[in-house]
Formats: sequence, C-alpha cells, structure tokens
Amino acid sequence: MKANSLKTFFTLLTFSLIVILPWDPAIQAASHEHHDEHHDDHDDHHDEHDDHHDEHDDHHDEHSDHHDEHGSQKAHLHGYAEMTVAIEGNKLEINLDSPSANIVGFEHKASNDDQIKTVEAAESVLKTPNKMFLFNGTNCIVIRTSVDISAVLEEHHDEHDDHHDEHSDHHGEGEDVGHKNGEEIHSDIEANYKFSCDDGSKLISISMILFNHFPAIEKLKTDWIKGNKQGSLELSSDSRTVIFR
Amino acid sequence: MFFKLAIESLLSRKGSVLMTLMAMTVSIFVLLGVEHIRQEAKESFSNTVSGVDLIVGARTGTINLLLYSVFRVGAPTNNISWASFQEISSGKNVKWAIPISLGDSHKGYRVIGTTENYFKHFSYGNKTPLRFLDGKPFKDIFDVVLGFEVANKLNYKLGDEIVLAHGIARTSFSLHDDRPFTVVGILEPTGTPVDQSLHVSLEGIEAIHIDWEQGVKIKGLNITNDQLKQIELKPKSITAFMVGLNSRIATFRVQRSINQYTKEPLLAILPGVALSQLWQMMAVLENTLRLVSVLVLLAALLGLSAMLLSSIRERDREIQLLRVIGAPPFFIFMLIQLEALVISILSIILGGSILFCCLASVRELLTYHFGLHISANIISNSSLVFLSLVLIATIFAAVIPSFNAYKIAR
Repeated sequence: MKANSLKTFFTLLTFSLIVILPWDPAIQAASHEHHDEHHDDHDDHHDEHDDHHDEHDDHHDEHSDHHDEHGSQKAHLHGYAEMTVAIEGNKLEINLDSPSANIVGFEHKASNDDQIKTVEAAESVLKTPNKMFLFNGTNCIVIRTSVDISAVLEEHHDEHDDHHDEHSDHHGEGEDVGHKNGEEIHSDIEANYKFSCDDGSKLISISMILFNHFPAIEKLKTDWIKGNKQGSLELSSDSRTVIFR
Repeated sequence: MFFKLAIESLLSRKGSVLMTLMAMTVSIFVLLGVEHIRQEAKESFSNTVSGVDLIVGARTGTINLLLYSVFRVGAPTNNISWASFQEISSGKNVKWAIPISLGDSHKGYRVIGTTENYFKHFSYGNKTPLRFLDGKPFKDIFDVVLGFEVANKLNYKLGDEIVLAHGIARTSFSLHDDRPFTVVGILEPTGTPVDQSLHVSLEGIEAIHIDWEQGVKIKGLNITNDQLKQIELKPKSITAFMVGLNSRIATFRVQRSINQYTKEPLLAILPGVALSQLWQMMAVLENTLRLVSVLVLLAALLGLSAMLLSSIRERDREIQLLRVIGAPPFFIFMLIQLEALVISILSIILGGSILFCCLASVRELLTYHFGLHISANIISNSSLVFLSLVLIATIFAAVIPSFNAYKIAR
C-alpha cells in the first residue's frame, strides 16, 4: 500500500511535469522580448518615428514579425500581463508590462480623437499609482513613475523629461548585460514605479486595484522578491492581492 | 470500569473489530503519508538553494532549468558559451557567479565542474554555507571534493584516487580511467543534492575530455599530465551558472537584460519564483491526492459505523442487562462512542508507527533516486490537526450506532 502510494505520487509528479512543462507560460516569458526600460538614447525615439509610418499599414502582422531583428520573438498574449515587484529595505519597485490591447483596446497608433482620448485616459491612470496599487501594512510614497505608452501614441508629450531621469538612473543601478539596440516598435505598454516605504519589512501585501481600470487584463503573472524571499503567482480580478510570504 | 467495559466488549468481537481496525489503520496511513511527503518534498526543494538571486542557462522552460541545474533532475537542453558567462558575470551588478558544468558521473553520482566560488558562495537551507568535514576546496586540476553521502556510501577518504565515468549511466564503460582524481575534501552533510555530488574544477572537466572526441576516447592520442599543465584549459561551454547580485532590487532588471542577451539565447530565472510556479502546477495534483486520502478515510469510518451498528443488534441483551444493573441510557450511548474512539486511536497509533517505519526504511532510496530528503518525523502541526479531525469524524460516524443503542436502552 505504502510503496504504491509513494510510487503513484512520484509517477504522477513526473507525469504532470512532462505534460505541463510545454505549456508553462514562463516559457513564453523566457522568449519574451521586453521593450527595455527607456534608457535608449533620445535619438532613437526620433528614428522610431520614421519607422512608425511604415509599420502603420501592416500592424496586423506586427505581433509576429517586427521583432525579428532580435532573433527572439516576444510572446504576446492578449488578456495576459506581467508584473514584477521587488522590495529591498524601504525601496519598492514595480514594473508592469502588458500588451497594449489590455490597456487601451487596440495595438496601433491612436488615429482618431476617440482613440487618443482612450490612450490619454489610460495614461493618466497608469501615471497615478494610487489608482493602481493599494499597499497593506505600511505606507509607500511614489518617487518616480515612468509610463511608456509610445506604442499607441504619436506624440511623446512630456515624456522626454522623464526619459532623461530614467536614463541616468538606470545607468546608476546598472543594466549590466549587452543590450544596446535601438528602440523598436512594439505593441506593449510598460510602466515602472519606484516607491519609498516607511518600513519595507512591514509591507505584507499589495492589492492590484488596477483590475478596476483595466478589465481586459484577465491574468496578471506577478513575480516578487522581498529580501530573501521570492515568489510568483497569477492574479486575476477575483484574486488581486499579492501576499509576500 | 467504563473504559474496561468498552475494551472487554470490543475484545469479545475480535474478528469484526480487527477488520475495522485494519481499514482505519490503512486509511490513516495513507492520509498521514500523503500529507507528510507533500510537505517534506516542498521543504526539501525550498531548502536546496538559498541566497542565489538568479540561475542562468540555455533557453528552456523555467522549471526545467531549475530542475536540472539545482536538483540534477532531468537533462540539460543545451550548454551556454563560456564567453557569455564571462560577460554576464563581469557585469557591475553581479557580486558573484558560480559556473556549473554537468555531464560526467561516478558510480551513479553526478560530477559537477565548477570553481572555488561554489564553496565560497553557495548556500542552502536558511543561508547555511557549505562547510568542509575534512580537507579543503580543490586546487589542482585533478582534485575532487566529495559530497557527504558519496564519501560515506563509497567509503572514500582524503587522498583516495577515483575514476570518473563519461555520461551519467551507473555502469558506464567509457571511463576516464587515464586521469584519476584525488579526493582533497569532503563536505558536511547538507540534506540537499550536494551530498550526492562530486565537485571538480572546470579545468578538470576539460582535461579529462581533452583527448576525447565525440564521446569516445581517441586511440593512440595520449597527453601526459605534464603536457596538460602547459595547455590552457579553458572551458568552451558550461551547463548553467548561478548569480548573486549586489542589489536585490535590481534582480528583475538583470533578469530581463539576460533574457534579452543578443549573442546567445539565455534564460535567467529566480529560483524562488520558479519553485512557486512548480507548486502552482502541483496544486491540482496535491489536492487530488488529498481528496483521495480523505475519501479512503471516509470509507473506513463508514465501515466502522456499519460494524458498530450491526453489533448493536446482537448486543440487545447486553444493553438490557446494563440497564437492569442501573446504567442510564446515556451511559450506553457513551459506551458505544468510547468503543469507536478506542478503535480510532489504536489505528492512529498503528498507522503512524507503520508510516514511521516505512519512511525510515525508504528514505535512502528516495534520496538516491529523487534527491528528496524526507524525514521520518511525521509529527507536525498539520498532521496533528489532521488527526484531531479524524477523531472528531469518528465521533460523528459513531453517533448513529450510539443513538441506536440509546434507543434500545430507553
């Protein structure tokens, strides 16, 4: 009996691994070609503008082929977004990366007034961390917000200034490994937040109230680090709290 | 008197009581066993690696990379180039990096090619560093440091010479017998796959393969050890490497930049994140196992109830007699309850001790085949909770026969 139960346990264990591994969304995440964190040079932005127009016509194929130059394709799953949360000491950093469709409902440049309004509304939510996150256990104040919504918007508004900050900052904290390509057109929206908390160790959980504003995000894969602890979970509008334990 | 009466009445129906007892024992054995192994496996996995911020390997599944690099389960999909390792590990955010090269074995135990950083920075459990029971880290090309179990099982001491085998087959005929290794260190037991590993330098791994081609030794080509020292033994590729960072908050940024590394498809994972993804996948399986063990228990409890219920009919006279000598109906009710509890407690003791014995005897097999360290100590908070739930369930299961007896007595 006992040998059997053990054997069954491990057989099932192995079996389920074999069955489930190929579907692991993390595999897609692995090939996930992130748009990197705006530390590209400014000029690149302008170069990109020119490109936009070419791309504009065939943005249907966009998902599949505009990343070729990097040799790896970005997994692009509508309804699915990724978030990372890192806490060290009193510093907290949150990064959200989502296909534009989840945020604004389309993936091309906003072409009419309605679409521009939608993008601007989304941008104002993304730039207001209070509307995105609810911290439990301690108080956290936002130090820097940077939202890259350029994929769906022609103008860059005031973003240019942010970029300068970002630029210096990123070099300070170090993006070590070779990544120096110019910015490319993509259909993702990325937001990065830096907070300073009263007591980082007391931060027990974060509720993602962003589900209220972006119902199109059905699954939010959240990886987190808090000191020595690491974890991962899949949030949805039904379970929207990441608990650090 | 009360208790004695219950025991005596159980003893007078040995046959059916024994069968019920066995059914209960088996079900408690399964319940405790599933719960215990589930917890211990998790614990064992989470204790294996600590303090490592990122693990980098060839692009594959997150969990696959974790399993082969840390737990030595499964096979690596691909190697990564030494140049990539050097470039990434020299990044300014990287505090230390431990390269790992797998592929050879010794009598079924895996050989790991690595650097001294392994002994300096690798830690397990609650950030416990590796410690030497005897000897010191490898220095020479043909030095080897043994995990505790390897030394213990194969009876090796410092200074012994051992021959590594090519590949991971337990009985391999392609031995690197022209280049034996000398044991220079033995590690303290860790309760992790480190115990089942042999550690050599990356140069050592290169050296034993130098006159090999396509997995077989080239005949007639013999390079002496002196000649070897002249050759620069630079590894061309490694299996994976572990990274410790200066600032944890930058972990995700470094991970992203490694995943975007353009020269080679690489995958960086956070071990803790990969483990929780593994548990997420396992959750369905775990719950199924739990459900099955609970159903087995339920079946046993129903059997207990049925056994007691059928006994009531034949105990009609006994009950009447007890009434005549002055026992109130409630006493009869409690008597039946007590009998049920006695059976239940006995089977908990029996099931628990059988499980303990079984675990104690298969532990080594589990460690050897699955790298799982399961302790035989089955007493934990959750097992105690489970057992008290069993007792409560027993009381409920015995309500029907007890009430039946109570009705007869009234």
